[in-house]
Amino acid sequence: MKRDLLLFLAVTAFSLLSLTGAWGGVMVQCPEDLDGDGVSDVDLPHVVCRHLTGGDGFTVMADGRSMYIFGFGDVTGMPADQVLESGILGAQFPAPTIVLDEGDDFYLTLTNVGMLMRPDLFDPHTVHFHGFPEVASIFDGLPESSVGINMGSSITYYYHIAVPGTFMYHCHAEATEHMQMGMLGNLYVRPAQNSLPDGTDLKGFIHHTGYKYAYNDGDGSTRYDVEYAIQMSSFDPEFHDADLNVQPLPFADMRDKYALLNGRGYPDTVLQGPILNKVNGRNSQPLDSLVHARQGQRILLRLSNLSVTRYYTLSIGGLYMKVIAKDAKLLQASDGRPMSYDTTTVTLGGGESVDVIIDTAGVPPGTYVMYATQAQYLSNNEEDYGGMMTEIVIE
Amino acid sequence: MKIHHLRTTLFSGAKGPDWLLWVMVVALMSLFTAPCGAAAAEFYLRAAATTMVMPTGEQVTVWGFAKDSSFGAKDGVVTVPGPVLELPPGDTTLVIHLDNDLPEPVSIMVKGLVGSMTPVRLPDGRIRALNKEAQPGNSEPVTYTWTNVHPGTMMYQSASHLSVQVQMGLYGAVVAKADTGRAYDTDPSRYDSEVLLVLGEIDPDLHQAVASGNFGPGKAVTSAIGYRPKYFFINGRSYTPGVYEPAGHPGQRVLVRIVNACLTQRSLVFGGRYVLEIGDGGFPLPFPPQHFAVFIAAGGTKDVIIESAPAGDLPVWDERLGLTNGGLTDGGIFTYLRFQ
Amino acid sequence: MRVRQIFQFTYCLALTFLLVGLLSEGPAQATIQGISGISFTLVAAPGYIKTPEGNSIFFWGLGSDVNHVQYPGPTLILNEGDTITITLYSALPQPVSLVFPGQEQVQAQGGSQGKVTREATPGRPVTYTFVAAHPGTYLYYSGTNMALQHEMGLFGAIIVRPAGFDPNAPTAYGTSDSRYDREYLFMISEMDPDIHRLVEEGRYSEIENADVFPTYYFINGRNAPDTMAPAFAEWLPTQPYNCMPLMHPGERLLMRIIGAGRDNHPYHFHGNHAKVIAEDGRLLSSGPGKGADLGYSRFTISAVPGHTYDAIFQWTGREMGWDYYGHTSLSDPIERGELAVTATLEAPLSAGSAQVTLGGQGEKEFPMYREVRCLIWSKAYPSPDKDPNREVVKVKRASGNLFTISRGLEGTTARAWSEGDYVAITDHGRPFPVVLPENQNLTFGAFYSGSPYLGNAGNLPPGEGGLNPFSGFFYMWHSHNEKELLNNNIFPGGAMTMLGILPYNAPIE
Ligand SMILES: [Cu+2]
Ligand SMILES: [Cu+2]
Repeated sequence: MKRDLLLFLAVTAFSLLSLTGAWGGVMVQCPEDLDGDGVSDVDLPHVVCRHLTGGDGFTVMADGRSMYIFGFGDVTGMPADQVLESGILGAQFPAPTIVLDEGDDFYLTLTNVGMLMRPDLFDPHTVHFHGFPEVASIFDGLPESSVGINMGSSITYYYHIAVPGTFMYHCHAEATEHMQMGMLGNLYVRPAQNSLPDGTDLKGFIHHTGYKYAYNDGDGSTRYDVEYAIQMSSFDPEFHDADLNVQPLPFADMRDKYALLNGRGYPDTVLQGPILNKVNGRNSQPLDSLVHARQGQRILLRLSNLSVTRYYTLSIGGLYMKVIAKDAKLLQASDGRPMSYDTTTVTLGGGESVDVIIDTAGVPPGTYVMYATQAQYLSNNEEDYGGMMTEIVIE
Repeated sequence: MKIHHLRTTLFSGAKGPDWLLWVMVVALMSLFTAPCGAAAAEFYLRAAATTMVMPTGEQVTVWGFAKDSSFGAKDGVVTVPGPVLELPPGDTTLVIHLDNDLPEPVSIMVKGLVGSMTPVRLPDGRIRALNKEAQPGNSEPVTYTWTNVHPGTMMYQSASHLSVQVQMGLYGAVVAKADTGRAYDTDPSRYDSEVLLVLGEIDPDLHQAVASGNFGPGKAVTSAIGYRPKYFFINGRSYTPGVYEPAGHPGQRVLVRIVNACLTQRSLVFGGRYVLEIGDGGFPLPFPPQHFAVFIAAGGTKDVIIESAPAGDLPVWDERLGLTNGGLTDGGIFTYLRFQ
Repeated sequence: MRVRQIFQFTYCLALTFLLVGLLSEGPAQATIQGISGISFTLVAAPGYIKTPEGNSIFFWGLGSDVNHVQYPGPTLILNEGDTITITLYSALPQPVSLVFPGQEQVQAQGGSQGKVTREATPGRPVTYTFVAAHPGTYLYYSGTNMALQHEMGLFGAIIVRPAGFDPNAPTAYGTSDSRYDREYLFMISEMDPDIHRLVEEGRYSEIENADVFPTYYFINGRNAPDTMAPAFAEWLPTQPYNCMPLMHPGERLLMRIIGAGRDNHPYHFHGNHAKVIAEDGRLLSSGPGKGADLGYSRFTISAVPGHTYDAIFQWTGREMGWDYYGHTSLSDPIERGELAVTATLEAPLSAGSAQVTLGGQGEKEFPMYREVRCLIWSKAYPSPDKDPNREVVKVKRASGNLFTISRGLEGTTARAWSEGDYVAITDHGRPFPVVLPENQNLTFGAFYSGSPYLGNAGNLPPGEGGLNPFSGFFYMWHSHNEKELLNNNIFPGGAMTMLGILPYNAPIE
């Protein structure tokens, strides 16, 4: 009840403030958007527009503990007058996945809807497109060297997507706090090699329409059948509770107790379907990490780590991986020889990405487990048999 | 390293029955286990508890593996790390028969070997074990077979209750050789002599909780989230003055196989010498880099080559500084490679 | 948070002072500070370092005498082939020694034999000699009681210059792909102040090394924002080295990264990928003469304990999609760095032609499978702004170095071109793609010039900005385990600095 009232008051307040001009209000920028919903109304090839909100919300960990978060919500295509209501307490974790194609012109609008549970905070937010090459500081989302968007207002970032790969994104305002609080998401770019004419000869490998590659490999070596973007992160429950309860934040003492894949701990990582939070019933953790493939298919895993406290190592029982790229760069020598390698573990620090391909040719059908070899994090805090682990089903 | 070939095992067990019958049995078994005529390395492993004395004198209950001569013989010694499982060159089949003397179910996997995994689930659907399990006090061995073993340095470990059983000590090395004097089918992996370093660590409080039955739902310790190792080991031993690993003769090309069973990455330094990193996780690296510090992932393996070391003791230490014995400094993951 | 706001205020105030000083005073800041020669005396002794939020931490350092120890120890800048002698004296309560990973023919004399090498005690120095046989980035550290002594601060960097090193045309490894315009050191470490306090108070038996929990993170011995203060700042007598990378667009910045702590640190650099050309002082090369052909590009370099990395960072603003100098006309003058990649026509291009072969090496840098905006102009002119007939085209690789050209774009018309004429990937003249929000809806960063354009000071509200006198682009270079952006409990700080990409009219040295 109390929250509904707060929500009502907040939306009303924002609307009033927008009218008076003290708040910029929701403003999306997208080429050829004629009706103001932030989507192009004519067919513009290679123009992509997304609209995110930055605000707060609630998640629930696999042991049932409710966890306050800051995060992004997806309001792409939503009329401006509905954005605040959708965004307030509408944060998702991880943030909405952004998938782009090489060559895209990407317009990303961020509307700061404020943190409803923290009316004392007036934090701006940003989007940092992590790893975006040759970026200008204005679109880097680093508030220290550019701008953050204030509550009740929108900013549109623009990116010309010149290279493919597995990147990630996050808010960079008050980075340690906002990132620990959950403003993190998957972001990847598919290569132009996908759209080659049928029958193109790539050093003896014949491309066919519909073939998908992780990178512009020039030889078909990164072709895959199914892809999964899986982001590692972790939460310190004391920090989140302190933020919710307006207590001093335990920065120095930060110790993450929930190690997560795409915002969930095991067994929620394999739960296909929504997880409704306990506060306003929103499906704020929409991503599972269950990997499905048929025997013989090639699985591309786009792995990234945005934990603010530690490295994680992933391994798969009964399978091995071919590491084909790191940090959105194909592992290839300057003369074109492959530098990809087979291994059993990949280790990522915060802000690193790795692409691996699992070739399931000859792999017996069954269920395999991908897990963190830092086995203490196979826990949901005090609960055993959880944490950073998911299943790979091969049929 | 003693290798138990299938044939030897069966013949040694054959007392009385007509030898012709046994020849037939052997022939049939060979059809199933080693279709290409290659031999199979076969091991009887037993998981059981034992006690390790820490360098501070503290006694800690650990879970380890023993290599028995046959199922039920219980004549092996329980160690942490477990016994090295070595496959001779050309051998592509590994068979492990598991006996479980621990209070909870145990299973086995070899990281990097592709094989059918049959997970075991808890009543609520969560996976408890990545592979089929041997129950406590099993009367029949549970047998795991891999027919596609590739050369390399690999880690075997329990595939059950990973948060507890690995750090309790249920791990060891699998060493499969490409060739006599070659770790992989690559030129840089040739060597004259080899040494194995298995890294491990122990949190005595967690061991105490598990050993005393105080770990589990509703008990004093309910998860491993508070894991804090205090003791650090190479081959099951913290640095002890006077102890060294024989590595080879001066000037030789020495292969160091490293298995990291710690729940964190390590960075090994070999006296500041350059080493050639030739393998990772049991697979050859395409372009071996030269390093004076070697990163090994948690649960990972590395193969490195030391070239032309002089006579004497080459110190090896962990630059991640797992170099203590409890509160005492100057111990842990430190040893000497002796070249003489 | 109130504490944070107060801190940010002082942070900005301090930085305004520091950074403006750094830029205008004019000492050479673009090289790595250190001591050079073939013979060195190092004294190990206790001291105190300062942290930006006002703490003082007891440490063990190395320096020229007991009153001048520093964190980290002096950076030794050596020349390839020299035989180096280092005499270590100790004023510490326990034996100490030094090891030099990657150096050749290391010998130790004097002192007494320890576990790893010979160790010094007060009055009993040790002399180490080695041959700096190979160029590269290295480190040295204590080989005694390492779990404690590395934590306490006993380590430093070594840089070996290649034979024939020319400061006016420097390279890291003597190869053309290791040439650089500026070089900076990034030695990353951490401290757990509780251990330092126990050592200060002599309570050694209470130290639990296995339980180390660092709360301070350093680059070159300083926490942000002190990383950006001038080198040898008076108020940081035991932390002489700063880390304030500055460059111009198109230049090559050599990053020498060293993992000097016990933890891995994911060092993330905003702005662009960097190409790692060497690890542990060895070029990533498949053979002599091949250069760093096994180099790899990263946006984060994991500094693993005991490892070193050399990486080349460049920034040209390539294919940003708009002109970052704010030019709106093709005849606006081209600024340096704007022509990201230039190729030449290998054959004439007739007015009606759609395909042409490109050469001049630049074509290798063109995208493999998609079109890219280019300017084409006559070889009679040095740059397209000078050629009144220049043309905007879209260029797409057909196969090999044969390219398809779309013509008549952005108001230009298709005309004939000659062999040797230029084709360059550039966004020259393209407008800024969006409208920025009104100032009252923005929170401004202290390093923001007020304008999205390089070298252009915009209109900032009073009291905003201030740390960017030349209107450069600033990028955070930091540990991406963001807990390491703290000074104990205070954000921001820690293992962080800012890269400044300054317009060419801003002097850096
Ligand atoms: Cu934010
Ligand atoms: Cu980032």
